[in-house]
Amino acid sequence: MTNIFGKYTQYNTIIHKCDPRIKILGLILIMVICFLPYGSNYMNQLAILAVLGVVIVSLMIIAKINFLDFFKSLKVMWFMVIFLLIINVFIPYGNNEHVMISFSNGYTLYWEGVLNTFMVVFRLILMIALTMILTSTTTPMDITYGFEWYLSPLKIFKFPTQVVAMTISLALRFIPTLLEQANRIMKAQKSRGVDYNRGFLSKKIKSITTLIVPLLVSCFSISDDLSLAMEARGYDPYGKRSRYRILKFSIYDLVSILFFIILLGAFIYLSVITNHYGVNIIETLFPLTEGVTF
Amino acid sequence: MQIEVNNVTYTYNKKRFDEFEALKGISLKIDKGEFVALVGKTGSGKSTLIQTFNGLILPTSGYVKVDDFIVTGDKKLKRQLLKKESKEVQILNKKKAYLLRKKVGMVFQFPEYQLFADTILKDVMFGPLNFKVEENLAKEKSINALKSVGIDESYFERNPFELSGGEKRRVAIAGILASEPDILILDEPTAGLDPNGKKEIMNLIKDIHKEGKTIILVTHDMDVVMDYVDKIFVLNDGKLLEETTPNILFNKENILDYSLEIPTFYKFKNLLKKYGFCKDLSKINEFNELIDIICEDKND
Repeated sequence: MTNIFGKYTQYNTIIHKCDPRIKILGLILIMVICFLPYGSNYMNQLAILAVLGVVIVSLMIIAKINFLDFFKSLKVMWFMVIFLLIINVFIPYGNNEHVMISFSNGYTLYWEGVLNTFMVVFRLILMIALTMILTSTTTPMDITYGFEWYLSPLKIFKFPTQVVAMTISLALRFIPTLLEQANRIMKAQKSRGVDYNRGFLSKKIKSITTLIVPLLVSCFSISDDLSLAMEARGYDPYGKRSRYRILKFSIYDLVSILFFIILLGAFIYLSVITNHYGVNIIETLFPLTEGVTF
Repeated sequence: MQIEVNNVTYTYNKKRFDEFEALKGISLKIDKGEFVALVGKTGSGKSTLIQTFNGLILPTSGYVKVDDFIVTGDKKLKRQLLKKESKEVQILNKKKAYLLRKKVGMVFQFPEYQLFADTILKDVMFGPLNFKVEENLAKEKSINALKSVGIDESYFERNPFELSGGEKRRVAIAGILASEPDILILDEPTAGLDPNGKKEIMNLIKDIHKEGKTIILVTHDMDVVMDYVDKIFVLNDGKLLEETTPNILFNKENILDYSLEIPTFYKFKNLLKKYGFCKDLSKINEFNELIDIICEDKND
């Protein structure tokens, strides 16, 4: 069981100590920052994304995230990257200047398409990094408490937030169990000669069924046992539950809230001046580079 | 030598914060046709070790040799070892490595979880078909395997999920036997079975052994070890502690140090000794002999 994406790792960093509610809020805010529009000047956009990248990488370093794990979790993205590349290159939009291929019927492909793809992919990578920071510094339990807290206003409309939170926490709790189970079943099937890595698509689909069917069966038996065990210990979905861990506000939380507010403010400011007023940041900051445009 | 384990080490999650060295240099040899048991407390590396025998886990260093197959994660070592071998062995190791899984059949703990097909016969046929046996022959082999585990012909077209726990386990074992392995490895085959089911499974394994197959058993059940096994490897903390026979092991004074459960027979013997049974029991290793000696004592 190696390299589960976002597996909780126990360290004692500032980010680990931080309140899960604030981490969730921060995650959403920085994701918003990642996807804000930053004008039409590519050089500006790249510079701003680079700054964001540096911020997020330093957060990762503070949280002591294993970069090897991070790169391994990016491997699954390649299919999406190719898809985005095709869409972006073959459907030109925005201001295109640099011609890549020009067909005889007047249909042209631009280098800007590739650049757009790169930026979208970079943003997605940042997003993955952010979620990884959250999941590897916060126990699943804490994440659920955080979500439950954010859902609590819905209680006014009699929305069963506790039930939702319990469902989420159970789902999170059983991810490692199911992975372990899947691993075990895979080993058993490998001993019967299944090769999960080689073979054509049709063969692969066939070999995957040998994993999925037993996994589903054991999944149902686990959930059956679990529901009985919960009922035996007097679980009532609508009853009021006390909790073992009480979330408290600490100095770290204040610092991180301030950090997020400043970050959000700064990037919204950047977004407004570049997008709305068309200010070229690089030229404003470094007048010497005047004339360098892309 | 059918299986030769040479200074094998294995580390889980290498170079990560949760790195764990499960095997710390184990060397052992198992002959053809032996019935051996690997015992040791939880976390001693038994399960990891057996998984190296059919290449599910590749040793970090050292190698396992199963007949002509060489299993190691150390590529340099593998190249060196292969150089010495004949051309056929080289081809076998490079192109037909999947045949190792045919040679070494592995029955995992709770094997009933590996069932997936819609009929029992199809599920059992799955193994041989994967090893490129023709369909007719695979069917024949599967029927033989099912019969040998005591599954009746009327069951063949039934859904495996309708069976009881013990029956499921027998079908799963048949699924391995159908590939006709030379070596059968069983990880806790008796876990979670009632005494009758336990006896059935163990007698089945004994019959398979009689056909000349090598059996490797991983178990915590020392009664099973005492009744069926010829040779014991005691593992502790990723190292081989001892290679003995059941009689020698259980007669030891310091048996408690191994943190193994003592078989009922030896428990009884110890109790007799404790309450002052006067005859010498050190050479008695079977229930019948013990009963005889107790009867003698009474008559005296």
